[in-house]
Amino acid sequence: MESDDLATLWQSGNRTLADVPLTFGGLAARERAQRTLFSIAFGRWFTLVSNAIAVLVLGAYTGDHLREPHVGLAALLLFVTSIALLIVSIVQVIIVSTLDLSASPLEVQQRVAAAERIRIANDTVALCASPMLWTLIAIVGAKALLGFDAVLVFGTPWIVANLALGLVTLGLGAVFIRPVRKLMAGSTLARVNARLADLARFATPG
Amino acid sequence: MRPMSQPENTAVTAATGEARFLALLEAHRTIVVHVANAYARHLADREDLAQEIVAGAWRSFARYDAARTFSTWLYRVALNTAISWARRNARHLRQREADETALGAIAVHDPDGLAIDDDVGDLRAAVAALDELPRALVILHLEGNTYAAIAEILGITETNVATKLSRIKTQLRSAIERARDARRNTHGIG
Repeated sequence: MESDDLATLWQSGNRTLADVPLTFGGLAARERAQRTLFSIAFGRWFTLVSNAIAVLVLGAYTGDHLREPHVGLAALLLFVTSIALLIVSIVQVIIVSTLDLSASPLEVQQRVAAAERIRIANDTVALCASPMLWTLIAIVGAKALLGFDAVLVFGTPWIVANLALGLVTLGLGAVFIRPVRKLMAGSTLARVNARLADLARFATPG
Repeated sequence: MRPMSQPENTAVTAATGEARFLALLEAHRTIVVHVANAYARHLADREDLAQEIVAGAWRSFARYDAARTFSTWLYRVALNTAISWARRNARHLRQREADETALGAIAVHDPDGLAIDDDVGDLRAAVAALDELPRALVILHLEGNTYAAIAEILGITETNVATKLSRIKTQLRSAIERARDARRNTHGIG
């Protein structure tokens, strides 16, 4: 079969399918564009604003309690984590909001995949660190909401029990929730890395 | 005649922009229709995707540089939108394909009952099985674009276009031949 035959076949299909009527309403398209814009932006903006609030609250709390044993260190670690999460969400919002649909598909797909890799890496690290983060939140929460130093009151066994609870919850999540299992196994990250490698291969002649 | 106020002026500019957009879109309508046809099989999906391409094009139109070719610009928007649409709906589309296959509903290549030739259906199926960018590359070629135009749309070199197309066309021919053989075996011919 010659190359021209492929094009002829393709165009023959186009002639059949093109008979299907399609709607091109300017107003409908405009409304849909606005809806799509909102739905794309909302999740990422929500994450960014939540992370910014966490940085502000934890920053203020850490400043006030930095010199206190246990609670100061726990608050500082959470503050540093919240700054890292905020930076990641800012980078993601910048990448997505500056996406230009009229750029070459290769460039757009590389940027989309890069943003996805950042998100997945962020989710994986946060998930793996969640037993420790949970323990830190419990220490700061006990002091902020109930007014006592949980480490001082309950001692090391309490920390160990919280870490164990976090690990067990994470383990159960990995067993019963497929996305958690895939994140923990690294297969989600491997998938997006493979996609980036495919895109790089596509950009290279040969 | 009184001079226009700022809001009036903006409204007139917006109306002119929309009219210009719709005129250009109508003149290049086939690009939207053909890309939608290439990435979606069902009528409802094709309509949905075409509408999404129009929405994406309208959203990006403010950044369109009139010094550049509109068809190149529209192809880029259409392909980017189609790739995103296909990825977003991948699970739903796979599930429906599986359901249809299980029900034996796909005796013909077109689910909307249009009379599509076996070879045409085989070619479309083979193109649909390609990865996102090789699929875009071959669609642009089958739509009659030159290597230079394809290179500009996809952001790769002409040499790269030529090399990859040669390989993909070989793949497509093999896929069509395999499908023909399978049909012959099924019908006990030859």
